[in-house]
Amino acid sequence: MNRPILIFFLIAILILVAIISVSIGPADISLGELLKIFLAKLHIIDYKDINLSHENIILHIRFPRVILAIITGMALSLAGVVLQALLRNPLADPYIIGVSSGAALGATLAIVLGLISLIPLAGFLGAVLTIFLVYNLAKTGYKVPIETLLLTGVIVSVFLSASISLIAFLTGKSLGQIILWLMGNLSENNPFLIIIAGSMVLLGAIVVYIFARDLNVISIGEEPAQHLGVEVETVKKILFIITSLITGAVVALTGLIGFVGLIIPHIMRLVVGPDHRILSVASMLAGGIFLVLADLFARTIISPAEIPVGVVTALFGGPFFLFLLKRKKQTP
Amino acid sequence: MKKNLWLTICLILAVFALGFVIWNMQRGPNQEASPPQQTNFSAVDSRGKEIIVDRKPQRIISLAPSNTEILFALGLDEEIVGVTDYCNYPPEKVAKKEKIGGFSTPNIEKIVSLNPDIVFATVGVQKQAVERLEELGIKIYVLEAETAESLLAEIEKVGRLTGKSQEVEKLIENLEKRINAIEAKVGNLSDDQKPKVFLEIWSDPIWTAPKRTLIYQVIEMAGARNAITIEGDWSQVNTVDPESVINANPDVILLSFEGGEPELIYKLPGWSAVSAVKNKKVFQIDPDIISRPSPRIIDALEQIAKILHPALF
Repeated sequence: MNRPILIFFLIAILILVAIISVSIGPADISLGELLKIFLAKLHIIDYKDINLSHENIILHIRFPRVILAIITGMALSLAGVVLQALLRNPLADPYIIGVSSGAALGATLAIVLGLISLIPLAGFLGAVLTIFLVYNLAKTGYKVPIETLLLTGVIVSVFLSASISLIAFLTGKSLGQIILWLMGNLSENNPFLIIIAGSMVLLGAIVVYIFARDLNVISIGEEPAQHLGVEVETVKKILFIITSLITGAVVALTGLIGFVGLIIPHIMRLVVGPDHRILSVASMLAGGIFLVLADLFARTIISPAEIPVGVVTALFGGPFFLFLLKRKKQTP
Repeated sequence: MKKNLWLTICLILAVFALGFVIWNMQRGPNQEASPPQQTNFSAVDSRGKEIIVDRKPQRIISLAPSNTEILFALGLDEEIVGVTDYCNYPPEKVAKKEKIGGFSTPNIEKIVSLNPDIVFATVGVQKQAVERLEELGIKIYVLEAETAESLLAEIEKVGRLTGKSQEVEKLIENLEKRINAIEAKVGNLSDDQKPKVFLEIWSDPIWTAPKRTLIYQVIEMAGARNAITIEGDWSQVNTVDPESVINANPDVILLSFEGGEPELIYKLPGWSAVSAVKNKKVFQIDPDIISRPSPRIIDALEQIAKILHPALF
């Protein structure tokens, strides 16, 4: 399949699953009403006897949720693609250098202190501070060797996770809330926060796309990349900051949604190959599709209760990935 | 001679008299104490296990804030020797007691060292600790109450087990009186007069009380319908999709968590059409009184009933 067709195909699927997801939920809202609500909102038609509660559900609950799922899936997959290339490590995921535990510590503090509306801000600050810390700890001279960065990230992560466990343990009462936050959920519906996160992911994607060729070379090795005229350290620095910011932005809103950033890049690499110009775009779209579906499952399967979406992604993503890996081996 | 004989008779009589008096003193009070003093201290706990203590418990440890509240309500101020770090009621009394660790992480060594006659534990997270303590030969009463009736029955058993038969009768009588007073006011309401209530015990994600919990029942006892019903008890998933709440359109929302200000709900995008938000009917309830199976759950019942039916009170 050639590239434009593949991308077009993925966009079509993404739109399709988004429409399906917006149309399914505990409230019984028909596709026709759904369409009318959107058209009325866009002032294309005049829809007088609109059901206000249905309008609210569609425009303020389901729609933001699907958008957040798309943004989050895209951000995590993109970060995964970039980090797997930069660190030349197939196990790399957006959380590997500590963004997640930093965000989790920030959110945990906000939860324990009862500052519920500050959870996203605290999460984002936690993520940014952690990355700043890890990056500067790993820096030797003006270089950042990837082994040092990886190790520093892992150690800082473990340290922060232990701090979270300690806080959770000592405050007992908030244990359940902290665990639920850590499992991830996409119910944040503050449009302002979603737009900020979305813009950051979009900007990040553009930057990554600009450096996609450099990324291709760096993923082979830093030395050859240097010889080919890539300013490895600069590219590394920019891309680390970008991926950390976009990961931090979505993690702050959704909590820890695992596995998307690890497996989607691998799956798309199996499908489109290792060229980052197409891989990054394809992974973002696939990540969006995957997370929208995972969230649809999470919120409908035992409705009105919902399962943490992070649990669903790992539960479905794992076996699916193993299946693809197996098939790839059998058909050379 | 005659004088000596009289003296001997008097002495013998005196000895008999003294013996009679002493004999009478020993058994007399036992015969007179009616209702009879309790001699066996046993009760079947929530696991269905019969717990027998040899004497009236002198050293009692509580492994849960709810148990602590029940024990203090029975007037066991002296007997309680250990409580958990989370026990905070009655505040001035628990402050003086030894702490035996957290709720899910009681310190086994500390508990053993306090040499308790009986330990009052609860279900779920404490299962492992209960097993370990029983292996060490410590008597444990496991207390669980999912309904108001079972709570009263449990309180009664705890009262008997700890030798507080009279106190527990008074306590139960008082609680039943208060329950009946509420029932008398809201019992005749038709379904239409009963507001739909949604209880939120955490907001991110939204978390509520499932059907087999005391508070779910208390909301109904307060003259309301629960807006959302999730099957199961605390051990099941009880996070709720916000859409379900909006769709259920509760008339009243009760927030019960630290930082649970009504403003939090009023400013949520998309909740404006919810009846409770439109009519500013979001209220805060102290999480301690609704989450603990203790006599204070009746405080919660009264508070909720007054919030829901101000005209009746």
